Amino acid sequence: MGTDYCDAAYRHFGDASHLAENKSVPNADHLYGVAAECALKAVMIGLGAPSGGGELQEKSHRQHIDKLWSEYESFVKGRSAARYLTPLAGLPPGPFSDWRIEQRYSHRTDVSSTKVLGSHAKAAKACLVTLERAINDGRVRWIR
Amino acid sequence: MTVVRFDSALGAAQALVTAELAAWAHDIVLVRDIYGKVRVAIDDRRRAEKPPKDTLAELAARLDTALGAFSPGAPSMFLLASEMVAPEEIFAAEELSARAAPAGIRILDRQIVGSDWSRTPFADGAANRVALYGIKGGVGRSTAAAVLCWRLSRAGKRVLVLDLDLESPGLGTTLLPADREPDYGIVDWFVEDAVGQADRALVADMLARSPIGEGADVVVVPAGGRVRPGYSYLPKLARCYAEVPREDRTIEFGERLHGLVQELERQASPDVTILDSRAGLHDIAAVAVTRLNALSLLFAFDSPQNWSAYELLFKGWQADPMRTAKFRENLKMVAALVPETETAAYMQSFQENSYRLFEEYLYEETAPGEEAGFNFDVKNAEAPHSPLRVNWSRSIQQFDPIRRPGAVTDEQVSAAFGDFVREATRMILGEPVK
Repeated sequence: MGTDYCDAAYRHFGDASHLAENKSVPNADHLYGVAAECALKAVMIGLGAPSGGGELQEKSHRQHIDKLWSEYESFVKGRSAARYLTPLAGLPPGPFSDWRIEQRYSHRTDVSSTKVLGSHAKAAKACLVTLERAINDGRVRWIR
Repeated sequence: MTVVRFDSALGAAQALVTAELAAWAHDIVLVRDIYGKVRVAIDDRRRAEKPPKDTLAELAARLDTALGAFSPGAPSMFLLASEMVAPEEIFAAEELSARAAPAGIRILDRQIVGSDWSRTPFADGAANRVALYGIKGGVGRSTAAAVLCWRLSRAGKRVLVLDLDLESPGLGTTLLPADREPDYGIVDWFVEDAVGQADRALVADMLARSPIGEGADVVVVPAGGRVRPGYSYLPKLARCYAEVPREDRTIEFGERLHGLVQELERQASPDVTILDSRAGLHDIAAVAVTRLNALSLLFAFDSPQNWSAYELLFKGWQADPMRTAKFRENLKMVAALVPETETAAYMQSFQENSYRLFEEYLYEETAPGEEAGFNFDVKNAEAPHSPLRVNWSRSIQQFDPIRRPGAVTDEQVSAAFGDFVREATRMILGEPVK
């Protein structure tokens, strides 16, 4: 089973949106975080981050979205760098800093208010927009 | 199998898509990505039915073959709006081409640089702007800009002048002695603006009055600030062309430069703004020549190298006539450094070569009985192809008005630039300045 961050990003984002619509807040929040992570990882590979078998190789890149966010911001550089930063720029700094992968083990009442979900949904969408730019620009290949 | 080159890939895709997806033509955008690979984006949001899967699969395979190395691969050939997160990035993109007749397919050309060559001019007030540009360097453009400043000032016209030759700055040095150089320049504005602090105070620290001003002020904006310990230029230049985020949209380079020019004009209140544009097919030139509603003075020698370089540019303009119509009337050729000998023959040759270029790429054909379009007779002195003239002169090589103020006499300057200054100012202000 190969890694495909790009397709996975769309899959998780789509499912997160369904869950959010159906007021399944904790799991929606969990998936928004995973979708954002996959999207940024796909873009990083597209922009030249070392990878093998579709997976990122460097330890600092292999993180979940709460840590990956600032990694991504400092990773992006070069002539067209701004194209892959601007969709994220209108967001509050570190929009996933209050998100943890461990949320999946938590009690449903412990995690994710609707307010938090809203800001994570917005940030995840911005990551998907960034990914989509990279796809349209030919930097990331999305095989359906 | 023949190799598919960049030039033929897009046309091949266009032909196939037009033939096979005719019913969808108005909802199709061909996206040519930054590597030149072509994808087919289909806006299926407003329709009940989707494009048939079999048709798409079969077409993807044929496109894959037709595009050769410029194929993204058959499985990545189609982008469906209904599956996208931000379809507006394609279907409402600013640089989307007009619909190609008759099929209606549009093209989105994703470029790394130079996208300002394919954008329309900014809506703007009635600022009197003039851009000096040469497709090749060494044509005496910056010297002409300095002389124009001087003569306008002497005639009581307040001048704002920007050194936009950021990769090869110099006009600031020509017009300002070291002790008058301002703290900041254009590159500083770009990096400060990116973080939201290009405020009035910064702009005020970018302006300096040149001693060349004899009547009204000549306000100079150099490319960079005064050289001093702790002040750097290259790291700022390396960031100038970045797009920046503002709220939820991206501000691209052209819009930023336009914002800078407007802010400088607000603070300096000039009668005339002079933009010394960078040479070549560069982003700065794209903005200065085609987007700022400036009179665009195109400097050239009568040489094959100059004409063939301009031909590349004009050919690009010809490809988008609707857009070109918005700035073509602002173009005016300048015969640069016209030689002292066999001058008449040189000017005639220039006029003819210039006419040939405009006639082939920019002038419209007018059928008999039809109202005349954008078209001029070869001998028409008012025509864009008819050049203003700067005469070559040995004495002008010594022109350094700040450090060697007496080195070139007023008469020598008039002999070289008299025609140029008179005609350029007449075009800018409606009245000639001597």
